[in-house]
Amino acid sequence: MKPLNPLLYIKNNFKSVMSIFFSMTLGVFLIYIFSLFSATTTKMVSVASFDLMDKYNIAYVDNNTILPDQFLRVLENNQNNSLAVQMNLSGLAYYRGGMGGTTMLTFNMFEEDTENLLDSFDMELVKGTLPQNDKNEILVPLEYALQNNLSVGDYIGTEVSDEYALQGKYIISGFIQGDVVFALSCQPGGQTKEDVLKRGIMYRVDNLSAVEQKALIDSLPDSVIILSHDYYEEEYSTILTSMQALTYIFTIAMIVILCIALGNLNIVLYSNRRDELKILHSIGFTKGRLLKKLWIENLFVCIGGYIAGIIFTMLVVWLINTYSLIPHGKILELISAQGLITAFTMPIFVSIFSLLPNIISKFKNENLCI
Amino acid sequence: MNYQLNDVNLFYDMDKEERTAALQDITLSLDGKGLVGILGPSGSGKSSLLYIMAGLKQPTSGQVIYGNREITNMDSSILATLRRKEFGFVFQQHFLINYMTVLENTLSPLNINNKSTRRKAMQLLERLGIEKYVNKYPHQLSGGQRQRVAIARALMNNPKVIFGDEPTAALDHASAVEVMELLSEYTTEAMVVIVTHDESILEKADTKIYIRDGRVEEVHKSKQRRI
Repeated sequence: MKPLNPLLYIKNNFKSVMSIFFSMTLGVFLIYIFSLFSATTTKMVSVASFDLMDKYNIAYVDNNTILPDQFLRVLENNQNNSLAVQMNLSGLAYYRGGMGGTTMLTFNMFEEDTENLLDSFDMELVKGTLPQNDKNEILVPLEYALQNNLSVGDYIGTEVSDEYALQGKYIISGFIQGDVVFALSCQPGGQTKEDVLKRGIMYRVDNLSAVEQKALIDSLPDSVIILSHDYYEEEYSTILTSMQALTYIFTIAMIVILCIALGNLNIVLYSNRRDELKILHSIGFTKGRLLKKLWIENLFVCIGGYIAGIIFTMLVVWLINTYSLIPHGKILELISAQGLITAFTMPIFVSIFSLLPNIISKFKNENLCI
Repeated sequence: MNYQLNDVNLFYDMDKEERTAALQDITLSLDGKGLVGILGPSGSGKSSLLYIMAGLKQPTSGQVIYGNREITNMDSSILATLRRKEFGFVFQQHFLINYMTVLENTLSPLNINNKSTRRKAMQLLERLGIEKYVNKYPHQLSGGQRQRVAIARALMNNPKVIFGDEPTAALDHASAVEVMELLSEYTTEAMVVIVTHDESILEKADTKIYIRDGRVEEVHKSKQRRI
């Protein structure tokens, strides 16, 4: 190892830089765990809305009108594999482990279409059976059942408890599990599929271009309610943006606090190292070179603290998930790319601003020669 | 490499009414080889003169010319590079870096740790009789051993000039003589400038500069340079 290698200094002086290391670890832990809560909330919204809408859009009417023939014909001509759906059942509250909960959609469709729908989302029936027509049966996600301590055969709905928004009384026929969450019941109420199709349709969009999707939506009158990616984007953008902004504000606050705290510590460290720096400058290392050495050492310690902070956070989240959340149908995200990047700004900024302004002014005002 | 000092002055407390003169009207010419001793009582300005020659201190006025380069007006980073490439330093207090081993301290001026630099460092340490302490840290060595490490470090970059500021002050007489012997060996390849108040260690000096109250009192050159 070269004598001026920053790692040599860190290796031989770890006690001196330990405070910086642990401060950074703690700071990164706080930022990253907050980011994971935020990412979990985003994921919760995503699995209950965006991910569904990336495959299917839903167009339906809730008054006496019907969907335009032209719209249905286009879908038919495109062999869209659309499903008749009624959106007349209230959604169920869904939590994931992040901040707050959301509502998952409850599809009311025909018994013979349920398998098709589950297959298209790669959903697996993990327990029980699929719901049958007009039997007041409902299929719910396994996570939902765990969150609410429900078993197959249990009843849910307003007649069971005020906690439910779902009107009436439904028996749970089975649990499903997969990458998205929704509930499914089959209550056609004596209507034919053709009748239902005129009032509500789930049509595939994953094989349509953005332009084709937009053209389809634009062809519908205002009375038609459209559930699409854009619809949910509008619905949730304010919340998700605010949450993101909060993460950034929190990160900036943490950087400022650490810069002030570690800035003072760096002054003390610098004072203890003045002799070393004087020797190195006297034997021919420029102030710029020494400044770079000090910064890289500080950066390495901060990055070490960052890595330790990330690993520690992931360990804590893994323990929370394993022993507390997963048994109750919830989960915190373990990795968030955005969280990793946001937290990574900390070692970079802190290593620069906790050190360089102080040391540059000292270098300017002091004769560093022996 | 020749050294030329022209009318060099160094004053402290320039902003106060009464300035303190550390060096006054120093004009010297050295031919860049041999052992040069700077002698004088404490506070006479001998260390200041050495530091000015080495570019570690800037004079208040006057010129210091090394070879054909005026170092008094040199940019500090160019000056630092010059010190690293052409000068070697042995300070009174050893000034080793605490967290580096003997070998790492020795390699520090080059900041290169490869087979060839390690071999060179080992040769120097062997020559100085401290090769067995190569992995020790400065606090594990005696004063004399530390001073030898400092000498090895000073010699590592094949300097053209070696500056020693009271390099034997912390040593007993026998060690002091030994250290001076070692430094004297380099006078054929480099100029060795030693500041001391102990004239006995400068018996073999080619040039002796006597300083008193910041002024050169006498310059004594031996008639024949040792070979």
